[in-house]
Amino acid sequence: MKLNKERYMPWLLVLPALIIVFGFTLYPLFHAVYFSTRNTDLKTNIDDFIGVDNYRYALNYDSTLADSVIKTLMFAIGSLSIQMPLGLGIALLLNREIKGQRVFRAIITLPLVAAPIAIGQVWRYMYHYEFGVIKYAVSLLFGTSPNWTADPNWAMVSIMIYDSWQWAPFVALILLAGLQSLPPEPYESATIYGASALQKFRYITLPKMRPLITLAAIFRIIDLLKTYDPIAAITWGGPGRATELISYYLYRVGFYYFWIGYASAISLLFLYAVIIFTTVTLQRIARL
Amino acid sequence: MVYISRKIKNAVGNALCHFAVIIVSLITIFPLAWMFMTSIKMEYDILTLPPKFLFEPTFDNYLFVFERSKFIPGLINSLTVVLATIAITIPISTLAAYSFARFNVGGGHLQFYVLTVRMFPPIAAIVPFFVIFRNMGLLDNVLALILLNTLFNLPFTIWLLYGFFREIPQDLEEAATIEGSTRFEAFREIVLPLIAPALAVAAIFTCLFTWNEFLFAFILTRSEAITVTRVVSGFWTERGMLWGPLSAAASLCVIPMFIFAMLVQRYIVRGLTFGAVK
Repeated sequence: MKLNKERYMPWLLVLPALIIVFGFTLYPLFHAVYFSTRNTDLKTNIDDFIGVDNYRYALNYDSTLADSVIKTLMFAIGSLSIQMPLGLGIALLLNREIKGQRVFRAIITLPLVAAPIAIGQVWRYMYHYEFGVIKYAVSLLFGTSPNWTADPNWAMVSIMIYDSWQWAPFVALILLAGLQSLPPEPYESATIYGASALQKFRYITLPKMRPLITLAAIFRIIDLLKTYDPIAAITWGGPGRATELISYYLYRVGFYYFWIGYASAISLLFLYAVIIFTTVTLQRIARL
Repeated sequence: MVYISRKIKNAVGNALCHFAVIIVSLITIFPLAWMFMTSIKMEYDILTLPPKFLFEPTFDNYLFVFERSKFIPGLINSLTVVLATIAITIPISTLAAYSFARFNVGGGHLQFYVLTVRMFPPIAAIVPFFVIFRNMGLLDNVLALILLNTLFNLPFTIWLLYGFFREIPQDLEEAATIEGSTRFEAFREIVLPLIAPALAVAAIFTCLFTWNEFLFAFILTRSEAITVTRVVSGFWTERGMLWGPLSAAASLCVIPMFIFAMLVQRYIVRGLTFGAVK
């Protein structure tokens, strides 16, 4: 009896969690697969079986979807190339013994916990083509300023800047944890051999930090691919479709047009893509 | 000479660093300060050029938010969802995390699957859930929000607590069991007091994520069950955005979380990386 108890207890303890996690993912998954084979439209109540037509349309003919995939990738790469170097810079600053370092650290934590829908809408006002403080400040500094979110060519950049404002501190705090655990010995011997600060950074700091830089980048990419709130707060996908990332396009298909069948098919494709990406990369992290 | 020049170089370097710190701090704080300033401006001070830094403050926007928007019901709903999500998530994840940490249930694969759920794009998950909740009559009901927030926070709290459990030496419990305590007693009297601060950290992070959650609230609620973030998104009118009330509501939404963030300052990286970085 006692033996049995010891044997089953570990499973008993995880059971409630497993019921929630498996129950609430598998049941909806079946629903999604079912609807993805139908042309279900909640507005007109059309609902017929159409096989794999949704998938065929999504993968072969839906140029808007293809467009939003490209935009999402561009957005992720663009944002990453702003916030990674910026985060590293802030981490190096935080790692120095400066007066007020703790206050500085507290300050850069603030954007991380601000609801994107709230602070994002404030950025929407700051980007305003007429009364926006950002346009005003940039005109003061450079003599001229783009129209930011009102200009299709600049709208995406506007979102990237906002996202970097919010998440560069996240990259910085991760990298700081790495910087603080670097052993002092290599730096000491490098100093003895007359290495410059730049050389030490290039040949000691960067290689040692590579695992954490990768980790920070992966965490950011996973989030960037799913970006929805900032778009809903700042541009609503516009102007035109300039900032319509996958999440926002999917929102339109599912909850503006209510094409639940087609939305389910895109959801599943999106889900598989993200799962494959995260599984491959997270397993890499686990090995780090 | 070499010594002096190095000293000057250091001083210049330090000055540059201080300058950089000040610039980064100002850029970080500015949008938050601008939000707060806009929240106490009259409309004619908001829609004006050049932007005003000095103006006559007013509390009209806050009055508007409390009296003419659904902020109060939103607040009640948000608090309900946050507290219920914490109440469900924390006990369940404590048990699961303990089991993962002590007995390695599922050999790591199970735990990994659980983490994957956290990585789901919310917009992809919401499509089938919308239909399910619609059929069950749970649209515009806080229950639906509690359910989804629990599902998305559970993997996170399990992983976070897993890391904390791993830091408690197993010897402590074993010593207690040898002295005649049951495993449950050992858990209650030795492990639980040690893990209590971690539970608080996990609860605060769950509160942060649930409070800030927008997409589920936006799609699943219309009027009865709207949350604070949903209210904040609703200041668009035919004559444009009501920037003043919007900023006031945004301030009310953001500031409580700043207080929580300061409480978990030490754990912020650990929390946001699910315990991957300590």
